Amino acid sequence: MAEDLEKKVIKVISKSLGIDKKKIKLDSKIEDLSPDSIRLFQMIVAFEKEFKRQVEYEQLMKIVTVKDIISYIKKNV
Amino acid sequence: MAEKVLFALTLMYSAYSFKQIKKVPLKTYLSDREIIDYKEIPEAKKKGWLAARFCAKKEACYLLMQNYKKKVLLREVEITRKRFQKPVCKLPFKTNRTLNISLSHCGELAVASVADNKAEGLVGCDIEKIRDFKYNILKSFLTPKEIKVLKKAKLSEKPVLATLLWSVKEAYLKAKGVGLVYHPKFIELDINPKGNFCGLRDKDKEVPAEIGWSIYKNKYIFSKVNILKYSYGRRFREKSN
Repeated sequence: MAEDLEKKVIKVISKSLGIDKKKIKLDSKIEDLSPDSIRLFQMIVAFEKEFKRQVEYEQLMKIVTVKDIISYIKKNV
Repeated sequence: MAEKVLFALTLMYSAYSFKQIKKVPLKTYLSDREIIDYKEIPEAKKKGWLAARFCAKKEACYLLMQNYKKKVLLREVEITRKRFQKPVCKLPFKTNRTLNISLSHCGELAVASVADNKAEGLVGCDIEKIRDFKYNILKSFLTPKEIKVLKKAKLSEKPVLATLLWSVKEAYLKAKGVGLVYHPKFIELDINPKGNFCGLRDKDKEVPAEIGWSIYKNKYIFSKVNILKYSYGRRFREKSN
């Protein structure tokens, strides 16, 4: 189950940021992976669509790595 | 649409590409601390990071010369930045005034704006590659009113207008010092299909601001927002009343 979520998260990141899945590690920083702010925003929208839940923007401050996204989804979805 | 204020690029800004500065030794424009920071930047972002710092420092030194008649070396103006916070500019002399700076880079191209905090308020700038947006993305960052304006634009001008709206919102968020932890839909821009801005609202509250933008090589949009918070802000309110 946890592995499924991890794969799903990596798939969304890879598709919305336009980067190879292999380059995405659990401790990769989102800021480093994202080529620009528009792509980063597209990623947020893609997560909202995938998990059918609106992201609380104030909470984004706490998200640094891919692992943090997984924890956020586990807690909030 | 009432054209209350005509916006123009009045504050200082500059743009550099990495190609222009690649031969400049790092030590001439980076402090020792910045050189340590630079080593930790991911490889793909190093060039833009350098170009952005170079721009900002050039602008800061020019402003210091104009306002304080002080000649300062590029490496003496130290720029640090914490996550989700505005970059901070440390000056090599004591003063009760601070410089408000904003940096942005897209690939190897970078822009920066600098303002005297007390006199000019807060500044934010952004550079974006002009692109086409999917409708669901547009809906996510534009208000219904902005979408209406976008629909009226010519087909060939839609990508420019959509990128411009994004870029101005981003520049405003940078001026505020919040970045993407604030939903871009809270901001509404009054704009006509030709790209003339007539107002900016944040959560339905009018913000006294100057907005400027330009297109570079038909490929990039550079935009700048100056929030007129202090004396300029009061003057703006007096005028519009």
